[in-house]
Amino acid sequence: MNRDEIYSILNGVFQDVFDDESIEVNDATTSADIEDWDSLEHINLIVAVEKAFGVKFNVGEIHNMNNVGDMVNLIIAKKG
Amino acid sequence: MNITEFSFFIFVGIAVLLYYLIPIKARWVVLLSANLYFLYNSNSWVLNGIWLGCALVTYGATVAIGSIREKKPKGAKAITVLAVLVVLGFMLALKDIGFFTALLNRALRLIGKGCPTPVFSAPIGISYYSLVWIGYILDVFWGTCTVEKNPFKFLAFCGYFPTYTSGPIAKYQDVHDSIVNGNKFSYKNLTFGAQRVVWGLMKKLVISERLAIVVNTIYEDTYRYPGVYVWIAMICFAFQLYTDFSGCIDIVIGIAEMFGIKLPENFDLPFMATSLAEFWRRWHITLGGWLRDYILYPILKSDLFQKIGAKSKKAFGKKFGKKVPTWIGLMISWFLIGFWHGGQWNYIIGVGIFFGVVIILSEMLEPAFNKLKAFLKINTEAASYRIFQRVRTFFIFMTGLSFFRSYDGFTYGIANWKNALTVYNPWVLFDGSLDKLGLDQHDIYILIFFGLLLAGSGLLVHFKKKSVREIIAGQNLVFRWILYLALIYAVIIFGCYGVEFDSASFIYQKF
Repeated sequence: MNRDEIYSILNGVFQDVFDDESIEVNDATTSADIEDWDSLEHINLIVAVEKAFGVKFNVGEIHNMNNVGDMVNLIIAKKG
Repeated sequence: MNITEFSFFIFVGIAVLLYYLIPIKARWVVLLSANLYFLYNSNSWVLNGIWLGCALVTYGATVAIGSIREKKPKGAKAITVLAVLVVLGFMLALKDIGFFTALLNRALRLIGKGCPTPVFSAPIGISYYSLVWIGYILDVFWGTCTVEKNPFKFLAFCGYFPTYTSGPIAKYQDVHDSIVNGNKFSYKNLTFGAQRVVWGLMKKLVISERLAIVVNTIYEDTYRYPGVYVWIAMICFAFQLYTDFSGCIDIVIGIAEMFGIKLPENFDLPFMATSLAEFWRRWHITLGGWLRDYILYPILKSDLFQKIGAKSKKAFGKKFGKKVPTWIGLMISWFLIGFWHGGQWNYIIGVGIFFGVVIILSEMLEPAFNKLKAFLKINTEAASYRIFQRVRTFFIFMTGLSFFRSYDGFTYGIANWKNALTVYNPWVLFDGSLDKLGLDQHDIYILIFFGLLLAGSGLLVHFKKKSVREIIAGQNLVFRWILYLALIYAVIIFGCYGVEFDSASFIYQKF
């Protein structure tokens, strides 16, 4: 799975979690760019991403995600 | 050893001097020695033995977890659970044995039996260091921090003495490197740190101790001081607690700064918050952060909570249903915040469940409130609306605190509210009655002056985004030092000391 394929799925996950079909994310996207993305919604997002890609993040990895790019890097690392 | 005592500052002064006199690589040894000296002067031998035992368990466990985490994850998990249980177990046993015995006795009373309540004392700072150690154990298990393998350096980190009075709850990642690697001498760190210490002493000794006299006078006899007096006590207690707790944190962070160590902030102008949720992001920040990282996130991510989320979405629809597990998780966290303050219902409800319920209800009712605001054509961008939001937030906070302050129990808090709402005596505000609450006119003027000074500096930070210390540091030498010396003299002259104005302890020191 390459980066573009991951983003096409990830955009759908973000749109679904935040109920906003206009959301398009990229490597630099952070919680400051999406209005409802607070610390609690972050967990719902993580769980939705885990389901969409069939991966599991540990709490430490969640803490260290600074932007969507970090998330995508982790997905790539876990999917091999 | 208390951090407002003169002997404590002599101790800190000697430690700072020694710290910068020896080579940078060995500076952590001074901190370790200071930690041990502080504990030796604060705890009995038994309590120090318990502290050291738990510290060694944490050390041994983290080294073991770090070495087998990837090869034997199940073994690492077992060690993690055991180590957390040991640290947590000692904290609960030594702090909250009374609460658990009372619950047990309620159950035993049903069968006509009972058991005596054991009385233990706890090592200083147990509520704070236990959370730091548990966080460190979990971070090592999750692989989010390195492992300190040198047992002496570990003790320098895990026993870092300034935080043992009232926090802040500093994570390993925040302070470890700075503690064990040593810091270069910096005139700015030294002077800024000392200024912050004096600022904290001003909050505690000049403001908080005077407010305490009013609060104690009224709360000790609310039948003599009913109605408006109780309102005054509740409002004053909110400011007393803020100046007491944040004053203590200023002293602690200031001392750390003198060693070149940057501790996390615990307050961010909480009374500027426009909602209760925001208030708690600005008040006792490190406790909220700890619970979010080590309790709320893991439980929300658990399979059980995911199942609850799936079922609630089916039952209540996606938008509302997905919030349900979050709200349950928040209520658990709020219960724990209350319980952390002590196993008493006035804490559990006053600074726990009550705030959780208000925050969750305000989120649930937000759509209805938005419709009401639109219907009433309320301009939510106006400054007057923000002032209303701040007053409302303060009132809710004050309400919770009124139970927190009811040391005689939750029912005493209810009785106080009944007293506040049923007795009508507003004339006491104007007929000189307030002069009989333990403060003379001179004290009241001091309180108003320093209260305005504190508020002014807060407003400057909030609206102009400017640090008062940076502004003063940019002034000419003579003017700068006149200000510094004026503040030091103000604390010495106007600070409340002595038996009657017992300034020996901070409110959060007992938790």
